[in-house]
Amino acid sequence: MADAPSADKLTELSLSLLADAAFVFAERSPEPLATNQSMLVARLLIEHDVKWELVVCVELDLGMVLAANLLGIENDSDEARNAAGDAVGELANILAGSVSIEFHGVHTICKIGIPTVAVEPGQIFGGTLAKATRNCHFVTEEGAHLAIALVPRGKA
Amino acid sequence: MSYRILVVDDSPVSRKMVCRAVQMSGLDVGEILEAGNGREALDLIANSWVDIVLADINMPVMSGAEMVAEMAKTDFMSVTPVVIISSEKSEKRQEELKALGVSAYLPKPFRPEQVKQIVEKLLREKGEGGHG
Repeated sequence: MADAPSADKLTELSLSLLADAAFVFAERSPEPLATNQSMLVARLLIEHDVKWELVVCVELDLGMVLAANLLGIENDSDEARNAAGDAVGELANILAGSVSIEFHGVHTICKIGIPTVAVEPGQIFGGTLAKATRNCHFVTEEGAHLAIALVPRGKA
Repeated sequence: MSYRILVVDDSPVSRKMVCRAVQMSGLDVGEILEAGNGREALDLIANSWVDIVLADINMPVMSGAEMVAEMAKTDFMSVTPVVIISSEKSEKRQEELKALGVSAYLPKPFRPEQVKQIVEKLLREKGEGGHG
């Protein structure tokens, strides 16, 4: 069974994706993601011999920024608001492609699931993050918070 | 002469990003058609001419890989280039799809100029002016 990528590798992949794809610059946060507010959460499965759930938790306003940057539109537009969930899902999808290579290398085809995205209360995403094997918390230059985690989900 | 381009992706954000890259490319784009999965794409091309297809792999209903396998049963890809734009970075996947007839594979995240280079090259190689 392949081990999860290290926290440093997950951090490297996440931060470079945020910067390259969405022009959002962030760094590791010394504080864990607060669970006293709801977050936009994307979840998808990466499957080969075992299943891993990739979880991306993003503050709602940051979701709008991600959508706006991906689409080249205004941050506070209705279009950005409506596209925020899909933007976070798409970023999770792209990150999953890189993470699956770290798990299994370039000569293996992993099944990357379709992301589901929802606004989740802290009780829900906090519970997921607590079970994660890898759990990376970030803060952007603008002070927005997000977390990216890998949670084992059993055999495929 | 202008081109008809089909973009296939279940993510509306991703479709918009690809459409935007195509529109920014400077290519003479007549129309961009969109489909949310491989089945929709196949239904669309059964009834409409397109000059090039830009498709994701991971989609519900019918994946991009399944769509390509269906296209390979016909001569579609001998006439119309299909480019996969996907988060999947497996070399094995790329080899499989190219063996079926996919013309190019562009991993996400992509830069708009990468889309432009690939689409321009393939349309030039196709040697047609498009659906003008």
